[in-house]
Amino acid sequence: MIELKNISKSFGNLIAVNKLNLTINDGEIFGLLGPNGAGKSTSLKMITGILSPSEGEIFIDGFSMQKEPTKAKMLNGFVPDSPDMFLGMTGADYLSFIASVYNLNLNIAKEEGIELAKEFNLYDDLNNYIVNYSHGMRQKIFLIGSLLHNPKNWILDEPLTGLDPEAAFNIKEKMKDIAHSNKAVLFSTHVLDVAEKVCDRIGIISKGKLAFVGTLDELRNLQHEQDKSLEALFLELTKE
Amino acid sequence: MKNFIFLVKAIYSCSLATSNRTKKSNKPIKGSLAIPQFIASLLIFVVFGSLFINALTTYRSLEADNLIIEKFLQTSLSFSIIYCFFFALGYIPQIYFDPKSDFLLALPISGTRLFLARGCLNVIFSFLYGGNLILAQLLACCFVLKLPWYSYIMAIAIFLSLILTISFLAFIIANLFSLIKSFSANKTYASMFSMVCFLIGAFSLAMVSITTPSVDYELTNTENLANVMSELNTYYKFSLIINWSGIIPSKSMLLYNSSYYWNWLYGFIIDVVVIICGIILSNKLYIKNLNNSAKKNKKQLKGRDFERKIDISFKQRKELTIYLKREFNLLKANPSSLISCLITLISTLATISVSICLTYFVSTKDNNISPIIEMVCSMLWIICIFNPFSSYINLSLEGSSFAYLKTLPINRQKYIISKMIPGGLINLIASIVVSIVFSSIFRFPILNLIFLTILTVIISQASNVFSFYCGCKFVNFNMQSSADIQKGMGALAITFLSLIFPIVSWGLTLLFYFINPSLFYIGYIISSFIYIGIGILFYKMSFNKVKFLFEMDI
Repeated sequence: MIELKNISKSFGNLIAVNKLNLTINDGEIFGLLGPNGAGKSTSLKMITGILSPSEGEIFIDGFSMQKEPTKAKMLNGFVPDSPDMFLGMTGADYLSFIASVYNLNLNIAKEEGIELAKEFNLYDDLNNYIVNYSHGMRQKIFLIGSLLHNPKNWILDEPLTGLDPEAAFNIKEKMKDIAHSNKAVLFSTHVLDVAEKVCDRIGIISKGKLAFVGTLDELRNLQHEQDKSLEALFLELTKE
Repeated sequence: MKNFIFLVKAIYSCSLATSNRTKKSNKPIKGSLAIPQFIASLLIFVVFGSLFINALTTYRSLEADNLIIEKFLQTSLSFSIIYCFFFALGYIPQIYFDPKSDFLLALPISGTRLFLARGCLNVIFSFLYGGNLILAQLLACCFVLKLPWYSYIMAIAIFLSLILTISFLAFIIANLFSLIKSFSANKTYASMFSMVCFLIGAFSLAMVSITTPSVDYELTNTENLANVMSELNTYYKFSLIINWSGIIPSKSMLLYNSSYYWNWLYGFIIDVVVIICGIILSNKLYIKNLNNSAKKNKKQLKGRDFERKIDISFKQRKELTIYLKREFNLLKANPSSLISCLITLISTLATISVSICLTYFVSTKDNNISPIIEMVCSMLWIICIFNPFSSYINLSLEGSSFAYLKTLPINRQKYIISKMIPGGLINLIASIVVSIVFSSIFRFPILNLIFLTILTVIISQASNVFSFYCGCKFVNFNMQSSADIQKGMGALAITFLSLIFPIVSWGLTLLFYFINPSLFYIGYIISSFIYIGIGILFYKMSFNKVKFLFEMDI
């Protein structure tokens, strides 16, 4: 479970996130939608510990990210939006590094990593350096790395960017599997179609504030009430 | 001309410009000139020039033979040229092979023009790193020997010819190596490999240059050394050609005898010919490389080899070992870190060579000179093992990966230790080698050898920790290329401090020497405790700084 209590983040005079209150429950897939610069990535970075909130507190399964960061981070698996990192390592080396950071048994992690690599069609490239991977392959290796320790909360920042249709389908299926095993999945996207197909609940964020939080049915009810298309409603919500 | 300057600026801003952020607005400053880099280079020019003037003046006041001055200049210039070439070679990946500026190839700019623009940058950076030392020595020589005004112009002309020769020679060598199949996909490694080969070759050449007897005069000790290194005598004629060609223009540059003016002109003409041939050849090589598409070096292992490699990756190891493995992978992938290691190696070899030269080529019958040489050698030894850049870049090399590392439950203690170990290892090897060699040169007893080695190791490790702390303090995660890390105020500060720190030890030793020569080593004992304290202090400061970096926003 991920809880955001009155979270704000400002960079000088710019308020990137403004008093965000949100709870992502175990067993649900939560999509954070919004236009570019709305505050989605900033919110995710605060949840994962990259940024510290200016105000408020974040709890990961009861552990405060500010006060007990190590315990909180052990429960998260994060997939960044920009996977151009660890380029000097092979895919297998990267996975073994992640396994050791999370204090996993390396033999079990190896089996798990190989299985995931086969699932994402990356097995044959595990011994190649990440610098030689395409963008999609780099995204996949980080996906695999984030799942090695069976995280309680799976957090993904724009996960489908640059992925081929098969990989995108596999990720969506993986999200559903993880949510079915009573774990929380949180991801950000600016594409409504993706959220429609996968999410149990969505949050629409605009200019650092939550414009809407609820299920897709609730959003559709709002759409019917206002007699607008889903895209038009989304645009209106994010303009406000 | 204006368009050419724009092109040079465009390549600089893509491949080499700093990308620091302003503190107030957090906006990146891209494309800005590396002003601190120029200041550091100028400071080194002034400091080194002053030291050189001092050294030459000392030799003159001791009424040393002009040949001693020539040998001193010859040795010093040889190593400055090696140093400058080393850096010219090191910058080639950023300037010529950086894919970030490849978009220029889509523009209607000829390959030759692009090559010359990049060559221009290489020459500028050759001047900043190493070229300033060469110019300082040449001008210092003119000043001390009170040569006429036109000697200064000749010195600048020789300096320019040396820099141009070095820059284009470096490019040719790097390209020749990159034509080797295994290097064709990774031109950075081609440059590194050529650097190592050049180092070995240049060191041999420099040793020959040092040990070559002069045509006019032979010192008593030279014959003994020539007998010891008799195999190098076969290079005797080759070294004379080098001396006369102007590449190591010691004889001609001294200009204390008008008959050498023709030697200088002869050397200068050869240099100009080499430069023109170098430009033409390197241009052809560059265009050939542009036309060849880079092939990704994807070795596809199969079957049991494939599985075995995965097993090796997941082999049970201690946590620190895994962090270290990652660290070595990171360093291996970055040219700047390799340059850092090679700097230590070069300075070690240079110190040993200069010490041998000073010890064997000056008559030990003169009791005034012997302790001075010991002092000079000690100072060189301390400067050599005090390598301020050993771990300086290690944290910055993380780049954008650091943000991701913040999301992981990293063991910060082991992370910091893994960052310090590679530089510490290099320093350790250098310090042990230098201690053993020094003890052999000065014929120390075994106990003194052990004592000296312990002291050297302490000083080298303290410098490593200090270097890591400076890297944390002036960290730059927003680097566009690994060359960015060594620019900015951090590099300037560390250059300053690296001149002061070794002087502490040397100053203490000198103080005790003047009080009582037999108390020579008390200064080293006291300075070793000072360095232990420095090491512990900076280790704690580094830990706090890294902890702060993990917690702050980046």
